[in-house]
Amino acid sequence: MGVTKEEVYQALKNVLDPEIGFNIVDLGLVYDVDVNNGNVKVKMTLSSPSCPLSGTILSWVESAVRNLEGVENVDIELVWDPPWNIEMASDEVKKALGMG
Amino acid sequence: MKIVGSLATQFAPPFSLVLHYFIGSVFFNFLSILALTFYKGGFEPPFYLFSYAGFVHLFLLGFVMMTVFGALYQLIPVALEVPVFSFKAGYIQFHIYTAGIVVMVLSMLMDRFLGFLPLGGFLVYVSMLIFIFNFFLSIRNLEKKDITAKFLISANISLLIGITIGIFLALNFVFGIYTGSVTRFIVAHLFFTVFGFVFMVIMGVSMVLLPMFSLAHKFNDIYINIAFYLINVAVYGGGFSVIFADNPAVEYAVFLIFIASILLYTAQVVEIYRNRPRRTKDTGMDTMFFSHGFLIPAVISGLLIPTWEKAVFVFAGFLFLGFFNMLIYGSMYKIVPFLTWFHRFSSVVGKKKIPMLADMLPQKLPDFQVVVSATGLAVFIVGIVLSVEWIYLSGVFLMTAGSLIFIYVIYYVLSFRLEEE
Repeated sequence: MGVTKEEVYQALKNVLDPEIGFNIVDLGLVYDVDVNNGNVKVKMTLSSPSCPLSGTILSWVESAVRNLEGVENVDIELVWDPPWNIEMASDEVKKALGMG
Repeated sequence: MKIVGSLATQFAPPFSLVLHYFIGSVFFNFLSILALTFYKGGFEPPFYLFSYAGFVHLFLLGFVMMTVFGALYQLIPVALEVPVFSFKAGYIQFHIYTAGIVVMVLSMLMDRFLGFLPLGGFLVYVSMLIFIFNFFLSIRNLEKKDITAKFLISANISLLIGITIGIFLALNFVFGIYTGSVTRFIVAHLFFTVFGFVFMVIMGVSMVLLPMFSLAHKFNDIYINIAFYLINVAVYGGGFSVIFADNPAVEYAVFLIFIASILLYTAQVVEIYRNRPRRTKDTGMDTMFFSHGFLIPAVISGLLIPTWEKAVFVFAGFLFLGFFNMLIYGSMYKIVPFLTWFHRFSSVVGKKKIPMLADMLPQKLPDFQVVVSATGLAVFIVGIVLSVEWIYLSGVFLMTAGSLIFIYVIYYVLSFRLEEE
């Protein structure tokens, strides 16, 4: 049995933004995950186009997904539209950042 | 892995390049604040004495612009999405620049070394030309034309004009090429380098860093767009009118335009601050935001310059030791932990337990440092206004202590290791 979408999301929850201190799924940075047999496509954004950690975070995303059993290929589509904003984050993140 | 989309980090500079500049600036910060001890009676008019110029150049070249150059090597790829043309030129620039600052400042502060002023000026001039050429070669294929790009381009043109006036002044003081009054050239030099280069870089880069650190996205950016036009009118209109018109009324009028641009920029920072989602405590980010508060007393004292002879020193105190100093302290508390973390830990993520960026700063010490430095500045300004030596020196003592704590915090971050290492 191949990898599932839920497993990919769970793996991506291990990727933390070290500046903000939350994982990229709860931050709302992952827009979509598409799983087709062993091919995984992650559509995501970053908190800022100028994020100096962009390359590093994407390489973590790639290795987090690739380590899942049954994954053969990982494509990451980095998009800036729609631009990320804090409303996309989970309630826990918003509360922890002082918005709650 | 296939990645579709642009990446800001693919052009990142070597860690050691930025570190050269930042370590240099941290030590020049301490030296320049310590140097204030030698002005025991405080500052008295006129402002264009060599002894004052020595301090101003030590602080602005050694600390402020040294930080700016280092930060720009890191931020040009991030903010403008272009590679820096040559990092090697950045290293060469650093060594020539540092040597130039030492020679220039010593020649200004010690009469017997005055003859070396053209040499110091030449070294600084050459080093800055290297930076300017490196910058323009880096952006030759620039596609991004946002407000940060506009500020940085205008800032570098202004720097070129400002340092060219500066080298003329350095040569003239020793060789007496021009026999007329050079005061207007000193003022123009100040306009182009401080108001033109330093301020425009700060304004442009802040529009990247402040929203990025505070996670602010939904804010009105009209203030900074108007501020861009006003500061260009003030710097270019002002700088040239000072030289060619030599009219104090025109000089003050363009200074007022500069003040207006600063107030608009401050309003923009407040707008970002009001719309920041991230409201949890962050010493670096908070200090960056609150440093802009020093612009208000700076503006008020700036407006009093025509009527109060000490106002220029109070203005410079709030601007240099208040705004520039605190903004750089805050920025360093954000950037240095990031650079160190990126260099030391990014490759071991998933293999070892790694710290968050906030873990890399010692607890409470940065807050304490900012409070000590800010208190020192307030006491220092009171000492200048009242011309009371012990108050002035108390302020300098506190600011020096703040600078020493700052050195320790930066050392702590740079030497941060995992427990098992």
